[in-house]
Amino acid sequence: MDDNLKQKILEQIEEQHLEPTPGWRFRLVRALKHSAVAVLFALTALGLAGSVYILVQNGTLDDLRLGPRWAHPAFFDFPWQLLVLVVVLGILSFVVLRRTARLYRVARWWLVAALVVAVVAGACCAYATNLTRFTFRAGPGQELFRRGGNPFGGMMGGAVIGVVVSRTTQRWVVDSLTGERWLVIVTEETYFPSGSDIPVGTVVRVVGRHLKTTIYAVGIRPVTGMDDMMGTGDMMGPEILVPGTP
Amino acid sequence: MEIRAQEPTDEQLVRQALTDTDAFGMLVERYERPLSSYAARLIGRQEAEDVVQQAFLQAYRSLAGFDPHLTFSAWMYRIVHNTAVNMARKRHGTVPTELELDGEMVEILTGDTDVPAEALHQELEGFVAQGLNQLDQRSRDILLLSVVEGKSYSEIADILMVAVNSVGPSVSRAKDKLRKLLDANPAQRSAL
Repeated sequence: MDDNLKQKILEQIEEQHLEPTPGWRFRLVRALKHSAVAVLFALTALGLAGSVYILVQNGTLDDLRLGPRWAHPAFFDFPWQLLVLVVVLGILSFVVLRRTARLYRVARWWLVAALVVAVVAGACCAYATNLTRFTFRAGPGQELFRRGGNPFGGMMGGAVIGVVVSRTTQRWVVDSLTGERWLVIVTEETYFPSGSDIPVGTVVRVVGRHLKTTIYAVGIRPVTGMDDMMGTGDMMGPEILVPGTP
Repeated sequence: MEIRAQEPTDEQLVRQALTDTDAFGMLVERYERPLSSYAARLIGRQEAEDVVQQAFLQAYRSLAGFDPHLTFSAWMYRIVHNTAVNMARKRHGTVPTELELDGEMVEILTGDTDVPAEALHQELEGFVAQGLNQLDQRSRDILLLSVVEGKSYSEIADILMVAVNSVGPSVSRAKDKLRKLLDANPAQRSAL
């Protein structure tokens, strides 16, 4: 080993006019890396929670397709796109994190813990949704539904009585008896009385989730008489309830 | 390394070195020997000087980015380690290890407290060095730093950028691997 290593190094610094890189560059790079890790990781956790939610809710990977906007390039057009995206984002966030040295050592187990929390949160949300749906359709909620209420607060904001002005498969327009016009969104999961057909002009009671002048219908049935119209009757009679367009 | 009370600390020198190359010279003086030995163990004596020189120049350029949570020593070891590994990959594909092991190191690495006589000890030392070369990069790095360089777990974690609590198990695993390699070598068994 050369004894003049120090001299050599100092000479090289002088000859090559080397200067320490300014501190703000390191701070900027560090801030960018940390922000990238935070954003990537938030997206990963969100995507993971969403994926778990959908998986628990629907029980199939097929429902993780992201939609037509994500159908390009063609090789990415497969049913479980969201899961792949989550994995890619997760790997990316750890790769960026790995480049941050100290943050990696301090934070990596916290990040793993956060991912586990995201998985549990997604599963819990799905379970809670299913529980609500179960209660609403099969358990004590069914009785509530018949009375015209909803499990989130009885009649409050849940039911509208009005005349069907027009209807397509998925969108009905109902003029309420109090003069408001409602757009009623009907899905495959909306309940109707068994064998009922509801033509335009029928007075109906609609139960569902309100959003301004739109109702996402959980159940629709014709109003049978004055008592019913006054809101004292059940939402549905004792007949079997069936989901789907009448 | 002994630092007299009136001498500035490494951290003070780092701050001074941002504007004064002489302060950087003092840092070079303090660390050139241990770093040169470490580099020689990583890449061989021939290239150790190049590695240390490159590492110090790299450190000088990055002085403002020095993480005050680390010690300057650990920071420099990390730079030397990375420089040596990169250079070895470019030139050889693998990193050879040149070791001078004393009786205590051989004892720690082999787990054998019955240290053989002088002649056999030299032979065993050769087997241990050979065994180290057969280990994977990470295991070898861990053993070099913990047994040969005598670094604490905290320093090893800083140098290799791993979690402190993972160093202990890694050292144990690396020792086990080395012992298995030594046990699998019939010449070494007869030497013992």
